[in-house]
Amino acid sequence: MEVQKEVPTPNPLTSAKPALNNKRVSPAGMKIINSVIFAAATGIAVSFFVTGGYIWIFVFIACVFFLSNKDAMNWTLLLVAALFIFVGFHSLGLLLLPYSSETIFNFFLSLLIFTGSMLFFQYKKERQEKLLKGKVEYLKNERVVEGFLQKRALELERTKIAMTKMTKDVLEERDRLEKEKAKATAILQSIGEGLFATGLDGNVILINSVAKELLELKEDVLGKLVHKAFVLYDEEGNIVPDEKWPINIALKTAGEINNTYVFIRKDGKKISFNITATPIKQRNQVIGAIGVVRDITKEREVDRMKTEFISLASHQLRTPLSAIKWFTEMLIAGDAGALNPEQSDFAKNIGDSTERMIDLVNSLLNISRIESGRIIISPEPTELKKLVESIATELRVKFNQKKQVFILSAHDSLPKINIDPRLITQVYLNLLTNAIKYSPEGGEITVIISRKDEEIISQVSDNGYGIPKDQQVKVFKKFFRAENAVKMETDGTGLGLYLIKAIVESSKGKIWFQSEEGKGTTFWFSLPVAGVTPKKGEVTLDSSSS
Amino acid sequence: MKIVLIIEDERPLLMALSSKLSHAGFSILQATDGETGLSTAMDAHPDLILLDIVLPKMDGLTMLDMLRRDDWGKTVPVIVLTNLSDAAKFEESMRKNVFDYLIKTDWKIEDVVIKVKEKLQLHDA
Repeated sequence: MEVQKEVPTPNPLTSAKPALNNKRVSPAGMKIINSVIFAAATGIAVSFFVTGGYIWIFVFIACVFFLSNKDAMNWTLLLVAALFIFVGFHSLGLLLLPYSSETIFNFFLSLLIFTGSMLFFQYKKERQEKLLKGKVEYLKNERVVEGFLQKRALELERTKIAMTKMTKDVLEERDRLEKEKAKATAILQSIGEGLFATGLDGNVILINSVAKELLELKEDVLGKLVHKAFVLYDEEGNIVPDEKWPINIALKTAGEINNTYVFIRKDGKKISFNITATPIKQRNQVIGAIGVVRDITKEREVDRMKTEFISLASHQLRTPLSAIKWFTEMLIAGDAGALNPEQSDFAKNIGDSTERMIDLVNSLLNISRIESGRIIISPEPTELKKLVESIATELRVKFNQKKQVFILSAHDSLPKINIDPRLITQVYLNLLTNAIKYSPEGGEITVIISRKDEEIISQVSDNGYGIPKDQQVKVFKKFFRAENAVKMETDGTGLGLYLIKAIVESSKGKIWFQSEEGKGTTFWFSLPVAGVTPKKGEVTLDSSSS
Repeated sequence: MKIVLIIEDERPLLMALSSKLSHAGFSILQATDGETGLSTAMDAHPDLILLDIVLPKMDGLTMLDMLRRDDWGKTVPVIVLTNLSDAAKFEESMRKNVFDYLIKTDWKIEDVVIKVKEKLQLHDA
């Protein structure tokens, strides 16, 4: 809106300056002076001729000088006039000597009357002029005042119009803001997630219907401290203390926090929900916090169902597999009578395929467990050298079958590290099984365990077939098997490296490799000397070697 | 002759185990659900029980609970033989004083027999 700048309007009533500030003698005064000068000059002229005094010439010149000087005129005029009058009279006296006193008196009287009447008329005229001038001035002023008032009235009218327009604008703006607010409120209220906001003091300033419904809150929660509004439990079932409330953490740390909590409804039903608390910032200053509440009870339920499904599926798949496994074993063992070599060979093939099938089921189960994050990590102080030795003993038969040499070298004074030996066994087992599988007969397989700074590095290398360069990026991908590997060994699920990468990473380590086709492959994986923190979960891994 | 009670609802597996164990010289009792398994155990007092977990009527762990409440049942060696590789089930079994928790597909039947023998010899000793 345009803001009118206030310009001070000159007030004609006060700004009319008096016209008397010039130093000039008034016209009336001038007339008197002129008359006196006239009378005196006459006296001078006469006495000049009579007396013949040269001094008057000087007086005359001085007179002209003073009269021509405006500033000196006022004060000097009186003096000069007085002198002239005196000299005039003096000269007149000399002239009038021959006349009688009556004649002289009449002369002065007539001179006085003449001068007096002249002054009177002059005064009257001036007065009239003054009155007239005053009247004109008054009328002029009146007109100015009138004009001023009219102007003011006009201005007021304009202001009124502007104000009306402004009021209309303000009302429209208010309407618009109200609509905006209603829209924003509607959006917040219709959001599928629960939402609440607090001020810097932690008092609730906004809560949407989903949050109210989810947390069984009423409107009166507004203005109350958020952590007094309801009781929050952590996943272990402990009451969350005030300072650990996500909103309070967000307010204190000015950072985002995301956590899962449990709320117990009045009907006793437990609901799991996730709260993401974010500070509200204005010019980098935290002015409050906003919490988004997401009900994850259903997600948890689906997760539980998935677990159950996996458990059931694994049971269902494993039952027939165990039957095939055992009967094949019994056939080969001759429990149903001796087999001829061909029958025995067939039975062995059934046995091998069954083992692969079991391996696949175990790998799938393990992957689903790792991916769901429900894997149990129970660390215990472990000597990696001993762990690898025992794995190598297990694999002895396989090494011997391919006449491969196994070398284990561990640096002296390696500390025991806190890891889950069952999980890490899977890592060594997978890497070593791969090395055996993808190395020719008579190959050399080496494990070197060393310490580098705060990590224990395990190196597993072979001089086998290697991984083709163009396929190396996919090595840790699920179900990936290199082309040369597929050609050489049909056995394998493509899940082993994917799984061990997940295990190593869940143990806070890293895994990487180097490979050259035809020369061999080296895998390295690191584990922190500090070890792994235990993690509660629901499942452990099944043994699988794929 | 040592008596082994096999509680297993899958007939092929029951058959394989019975056949293998009788070949190994054990006297075999069979049950295909938890309830029958419990009553057979109480009546016959076998030397060892091979117990599946997923069973009709009464699951293996419930049956184990009931068994451990009995004076005789408290100490009878039990080997859980299942395909459920669930940590919770494993821990629960161990709390109920189970000698071993074996995953069927991970074990050769021959090794199961060895385990049974081992347990009974230990028990005898």
